[in-house]
Amino acid sequence: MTLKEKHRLIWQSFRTIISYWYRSPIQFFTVIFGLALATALWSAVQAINSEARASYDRASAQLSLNDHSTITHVTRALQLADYVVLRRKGWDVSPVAQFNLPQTANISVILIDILSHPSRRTEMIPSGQPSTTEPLVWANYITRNRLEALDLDIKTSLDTALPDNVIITDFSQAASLGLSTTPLDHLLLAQEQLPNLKSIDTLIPGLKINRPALSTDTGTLTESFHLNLTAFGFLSFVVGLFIVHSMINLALEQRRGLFRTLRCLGVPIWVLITALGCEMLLFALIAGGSGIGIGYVLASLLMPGVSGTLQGLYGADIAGVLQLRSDWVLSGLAIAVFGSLLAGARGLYLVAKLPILQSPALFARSQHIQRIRNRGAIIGGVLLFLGTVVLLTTNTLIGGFIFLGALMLGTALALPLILSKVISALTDRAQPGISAWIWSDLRAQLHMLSLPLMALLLAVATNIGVETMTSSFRLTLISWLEQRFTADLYVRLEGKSAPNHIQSWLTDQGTTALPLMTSETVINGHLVSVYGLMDHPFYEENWPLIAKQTEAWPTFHLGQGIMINEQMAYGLDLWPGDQLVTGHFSQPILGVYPDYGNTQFQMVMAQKQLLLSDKPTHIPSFTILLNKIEKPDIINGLTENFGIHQTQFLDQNSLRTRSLAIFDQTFLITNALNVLTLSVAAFALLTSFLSMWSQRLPQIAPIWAMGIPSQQLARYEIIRSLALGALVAILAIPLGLVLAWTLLNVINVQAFGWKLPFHATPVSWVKVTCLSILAALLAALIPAGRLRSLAPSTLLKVFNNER
Amino acid sequence: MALILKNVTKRFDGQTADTAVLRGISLQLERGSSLALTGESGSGKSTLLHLAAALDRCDDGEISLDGRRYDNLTDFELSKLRRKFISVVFQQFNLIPSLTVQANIELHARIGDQFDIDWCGALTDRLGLSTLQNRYPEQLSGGQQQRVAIARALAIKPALLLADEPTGNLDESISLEVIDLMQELVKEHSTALFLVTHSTQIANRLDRQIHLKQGLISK
Repeated sequence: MTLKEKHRLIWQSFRTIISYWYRSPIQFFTVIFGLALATALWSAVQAINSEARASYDRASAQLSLNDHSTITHVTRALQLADYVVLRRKGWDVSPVAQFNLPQTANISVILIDILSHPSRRTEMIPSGQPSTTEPLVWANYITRNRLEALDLDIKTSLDTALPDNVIITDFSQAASLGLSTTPLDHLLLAQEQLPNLKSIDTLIPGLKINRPALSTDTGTLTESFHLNLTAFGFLSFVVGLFIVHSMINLALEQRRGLFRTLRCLGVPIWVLITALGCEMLLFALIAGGSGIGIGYVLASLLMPGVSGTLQGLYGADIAGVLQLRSDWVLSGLAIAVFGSLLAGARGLYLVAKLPILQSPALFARSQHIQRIRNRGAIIGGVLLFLGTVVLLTTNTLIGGFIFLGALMLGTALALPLILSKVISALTDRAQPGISAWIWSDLRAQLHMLSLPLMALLLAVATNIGVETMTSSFRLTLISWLEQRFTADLYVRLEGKSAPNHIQSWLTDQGTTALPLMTSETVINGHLVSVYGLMDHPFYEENWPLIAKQTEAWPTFHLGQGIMINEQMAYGLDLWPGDQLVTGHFSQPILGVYPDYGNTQFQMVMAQKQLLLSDKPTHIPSFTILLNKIEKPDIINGLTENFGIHQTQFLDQNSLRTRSLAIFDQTFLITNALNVLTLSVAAFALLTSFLSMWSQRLPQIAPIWAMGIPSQQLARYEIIRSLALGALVAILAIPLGLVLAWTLLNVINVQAFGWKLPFHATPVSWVKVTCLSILAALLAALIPAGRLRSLAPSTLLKVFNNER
Repeated sequence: MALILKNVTKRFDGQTADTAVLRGISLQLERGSSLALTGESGSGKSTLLHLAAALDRCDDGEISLDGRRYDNLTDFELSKLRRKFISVVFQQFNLIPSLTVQANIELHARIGDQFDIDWCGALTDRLGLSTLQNRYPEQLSGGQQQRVAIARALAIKPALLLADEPTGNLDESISLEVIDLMQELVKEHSTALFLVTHSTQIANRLDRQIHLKQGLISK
C-alpha cells in the first residue's frame, strides 16, 4: 500500500468514525465540555501559580536585594562620604538611594552605581563600561506607559524583571530627573570581599551589616500555599477526567458496531486505532483550547482573592492582574492531550482487541463487570495500605499528599463494589414487583454510572473535608483571638516615636503599658523573631499554651527559659523540656504557644533576658490595659503628645475583625474550587444519565408496556438518582472526615507549621449531603423530563428492533 | 475458480473434532455463479460464511479466493482482501447510522479506493434509492435499509459477494425482487455469489444449493 493510499484509508476511516458525533451533539458537547472544564480548573490554578511566582521573581530581582547583605547606620542616614571611606579601605560596597519621582504619586526611583553594583555591573554592562546607546534608566512596560501617560520625557531601557512603578538608574542621571543623590538608603555589600579588612564599625562607628533573611524568601514561604492550590487543581482535573473517561469509553462502546462494520469492510486495526487516536487528539486540542480560555477567565476572577490571600497570610505582594503566559497555556494543552489519552487508553486497547464477529454473552459480560469491580476494590485496598505506610513512615508534606491521593483514589476505586453490595442488599429486601425492579434496574446501571459516582464521591468528600478543616480552623482562630488579644488597646509605634516617653506618659495616666521588645536572630538557617515580655500576670492569664512545663510562667519571668511558637516547635522539633542551643545561647523550652497566621519561627523570653543579649532591640508596640481609664482619652492624648496616628491604634474588635477577614480571604479560592469540583461532578452524572439514555429504553419499554405510565417512570428515575446521591454522600462523610483529619494534623503542620484541634461540624456535613442530593437531582431532571414526554412510538421501536 | 474451500474445519472453545461446528467442508464457486447455503439454525451456516468472507480463520483445511490462500495472509492482508475483493451483506444490514444513504453506499468503495461515482449512481437508481440518498438509516424501512446494504456491497464490484439471510427482513415479493436483482448484477460483473438462506424458494432461484447439517454438507 502506498503512503497516499494509507493516508486516504485513514482519512476515510476518520471521517466515518467522526460522523458519529454529528448525530450525537449532546454527547459531543459533554466530552468537549468535560475535558475543557478539567483543563480549565487545572489551567486556572497554574495561571495563578505562574502569575504569583512571576511576581515573586520580580520582587526578588529588584536589585537582587535578597541576595546581598546591606549596610545601614543605627542612628543616622548614610551619606556619600561613608561610602567613600569604606571603598578607600577596600570594602566592595555599592551605594543605593531611593526617592519618589517628582510630580508623580508613587513612582519610585532607585539610584545605584552601576560600576560598583554587585549584580547589575556584570549583568548590564559586560564590558565594565556603561553603554552609550541605551539610556541608563530601566523600567518595565507598565512603568514606561505610566511615564508616557504622565507626559514625562524620560527615556528608559526595558527591564521586564522590575516591579511596577519602579525606575532604576545610575547616580549620574539623578540631576536630570530632578533628584538629589543623598541621603543614601543603604550600601550593598558584595559577597566576595578582600581578606583582613578592618570591621566596618571600627571604620565608621554605628554602621551595621544586615544579613539577608535566610528562610523568608517569599517564594519559599508561599510554596505550601501553591502546593495546596496545585493539589486542588489536580483533584479537579482528576474529577474532570472521570467525565472524559466515562464519555470517551461510552462513545467507543456505542460505536462497537461501527468499528466491526469498518473491520468487515477491510479497515485494518492499526488504521482504526490511528483514526481514533486522531479523533482524541482533535478533541483534546479543541477542549484544551476552550479549557485554557475558561481557565483564564476563572483565574482572572480568582486572582484578586489570591492576591489578597498572599498579602494577608504571607505579606507577599503579587499583581492582581493576570497575564497570558506560555508556561501555563502549554501546560494546559499538554494536560488536555495527556488527559484524553489517559482517559481513552483503555478504550483504545479494547477496540484493538475487539473481535470482528463476537459479542460477549450477557452472562459473561456481567461476570466481567463483577471482575472489574473486584479488581478495583483490591487495587483500592492496596492503595489505601500503601498510602498509610507512606504517611506513617514519612513526615513530609509530599507524604501527606501521597496519603490523601491514595485515600481518595483507593476509596473511589472501591466504591462500585460497595454500592453494588448495598444495592443488592436493598434489592433482596425490596417488595417483589415494581420496587424490586427499581433497585435491580439501578444495579444494572451501576457499571455505567461508576465513574461519575466516583467523581461525586471525591467532590463531596473534598467538600466535607475542607469545610470541616476551615470550620475547625475558624473556631480555633476565634477562640485563640479571644484568649490572646484581650488587652484594651494596642499601639503600633512608627518612625521617631520614643517608647520610654510613651511608657512614662501611659503609666502617669493610670494605665498599664506593656512594651513588646523585639529582636531577630538566625537559628539553623531560619530567621527567628524574638520578643521580650515584661513580667506581668497579663501574659500568664492570656497567653494560651499548647504544651508547657510545670511552673512555666514563673520560671519564664525569672529569665530561666523561653517559649517558642508552634511553627518553631514543629520545624526544629523542640518541645517543653528540650534545650534550645545556638552559639552561646542555651535555654530550656518552657512552653509552646499557638501562633496562627504566622509562618515565621518566633520565640518569647523575659525582657530582662533579652536585654542581656547582645542583639539590637527595639519596641515596635505597646499592649495597654486601660484600668478603667477612658479609651478615647488615651488615644487623644497619645495622638496629641506623640503624634501617633489613628491607624496605629488597634483594639480587640478591630484586630479580631481584621484577622477573620484575612482568614476568610485565605480560604476564598479553596471554597471556590470546592464548589467548582462539585459542579463538575454533578455535570459528570448528568452526562452519564444523558448518554445512557438510548441504552435505558430497552429496560424501560417492557415496564411501560406492562402499564406503568411514563410520568411514573420519570418519578422512579428521579427517586433512583436521589437514592444514589444520598448513598454516595453517606459514604463520603467518613472519607471527608479522614480527609479533614489529614489536613488538620498532617498537611497544616507541614505546610504552615500549626496543628489544629478537630471540631465536628455536623451542619456543614448536612449541607454538603444536601448539595450532593441536589447535584443528583439536577442531573436526573433532564432525563426524567425526556422520559415523561416520551412518545409511545419511541418506546415501541424497542420491540420492533428486537430480534 | 473464485472461491475454493478444502476440508475446512472450525471449532469453538470446548469443541472436539467430532463436535466441531464445521467438519471438513469442501466446496467451489465460480465467478458469475451463485450458490445457496441452507440449513437449520446452529448448523454452521453463518460460521462458514464468515470464514469465506475472511472475517474469521479456520482451524484446519484451506480457503482461497482467486488463488490467494487465506491461511497464508496476515491480518493486514486479509483486511486488504475484504477491502478490495469481498463484500458481505449482513442480516442486520450493519449500516453506519451516522452516515446518509449515499455516504453508506459509497463507504466501502471509498475505503477500498475503488470509488466510481457513475457506478454508485447507477446502483442507487437500480435499487430504487435515488430519492432516499440524503436520509439516515434510522429513517428507512427494513427493506430500504437492506437495499442500501446491497448497494454498498456491490459498489466495489466484488469478486465474491456473501449474503447472510439478505431478505430476512423483507416480505416475499420484495425478497424475490432483491434476489433477482443481485443475480443480475452478479452475472453482469462476474461476481461469485454465496448466499445463506432459510428460504427454499430463494435457494431455488440460485444456480446451485447445498445443505449444511451438523457441520457437514448433506447434499
